[in-house]
Amino acid sequence: MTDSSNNEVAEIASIFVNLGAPEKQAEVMASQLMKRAEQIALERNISKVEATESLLKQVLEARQGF
Amino acid sequence: MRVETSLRRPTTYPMDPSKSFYQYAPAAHFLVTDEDAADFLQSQFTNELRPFEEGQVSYGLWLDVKGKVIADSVVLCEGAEQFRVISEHCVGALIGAHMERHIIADDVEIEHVDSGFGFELSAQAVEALALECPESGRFIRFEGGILYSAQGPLYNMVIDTESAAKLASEKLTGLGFIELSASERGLARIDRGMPLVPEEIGAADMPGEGGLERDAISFTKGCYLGQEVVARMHNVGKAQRGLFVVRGEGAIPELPLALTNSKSKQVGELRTAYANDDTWQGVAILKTRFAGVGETLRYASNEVSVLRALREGLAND
Repeated sequence: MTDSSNNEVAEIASIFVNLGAPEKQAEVMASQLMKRAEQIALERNISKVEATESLLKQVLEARQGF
Repeated sequence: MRVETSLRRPTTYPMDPSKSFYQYAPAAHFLVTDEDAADFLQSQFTNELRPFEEGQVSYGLWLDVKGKVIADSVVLCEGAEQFRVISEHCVGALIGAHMERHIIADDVEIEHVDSGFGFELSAQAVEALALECPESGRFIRFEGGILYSAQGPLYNMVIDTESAAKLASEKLTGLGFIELSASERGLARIDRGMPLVPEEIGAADMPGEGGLERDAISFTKGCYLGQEVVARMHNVGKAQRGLFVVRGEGAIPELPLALTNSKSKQVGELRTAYANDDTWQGVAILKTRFAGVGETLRYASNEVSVLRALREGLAND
């Protein structure tokens, strides 16, 4: 992984840690989410940031039970 | 990271599915363990997991209390107290968050693991890798990976390491198997009548609207989250919307996209689209009272033809 993608994974992982996930688990979840965000960005011709935001929103909604 | 072994070819779909394969990174891969794991999963997953027999794999959905689709996955039973959950498209953090909301007094542990490297394979490709095809609804372990048959005629293999995945990919390519691009795979999936969760059937939709009651839901297993709504629709109702294969010309539009009929009434939404030469083919969810096969729908000044119901002709098992 590049430095920038490592930073992105670390940033997303810190969100999961704040939501209560153990650090190592948060990293794995963040890595999976970033891979999926990259695929969605390519498929829908949107930015990776938009795809990541969309996935994170879904995760937060699932946690809150919407 | 996806393993690339060959340059892209200027081919377009259709191609022989038995002589092709597709690589992906599973978006969810986690273990559910501990003494209440089996009963907990059975109470959340839409398909039957009993008799919790080692080697069994089941494809199904995770629903919210209103019966709307949160995610899909397979669940592999690795023992009385250990289950593996894998989803190609639905992220692990999402399924995990949903599950954790519903763990009340259950002894259940969720452990996210490295995604691994996913392959979708024909029986011929499995045999070319010197592996034995598992029976439908079963998985086998081999050194460095898992191979399972959960839904449809194809097999899924998840390999632990990038180097082993690269070797498998090179072997298949060397034997003449063609690696599908994401777009080619999308078209192949549509040909097989398989809905894509959550893009085509997701948080605003019911499983019945995607025809998923055919292979993702057990109507005999008893209660699970969202079961009452699903059972009611199956027994006394009828889905007001359904998934249809549609075709348009020119560039793929931005998705999701509202589709209107000749009276400018919005009748549905285009959810996915894949390029195929100068046209594209995709899947739209349409209100069945106002749109159907053979009709022409519109967006802006463009036309979209409704070709067929996505799951038309599939056995209703």
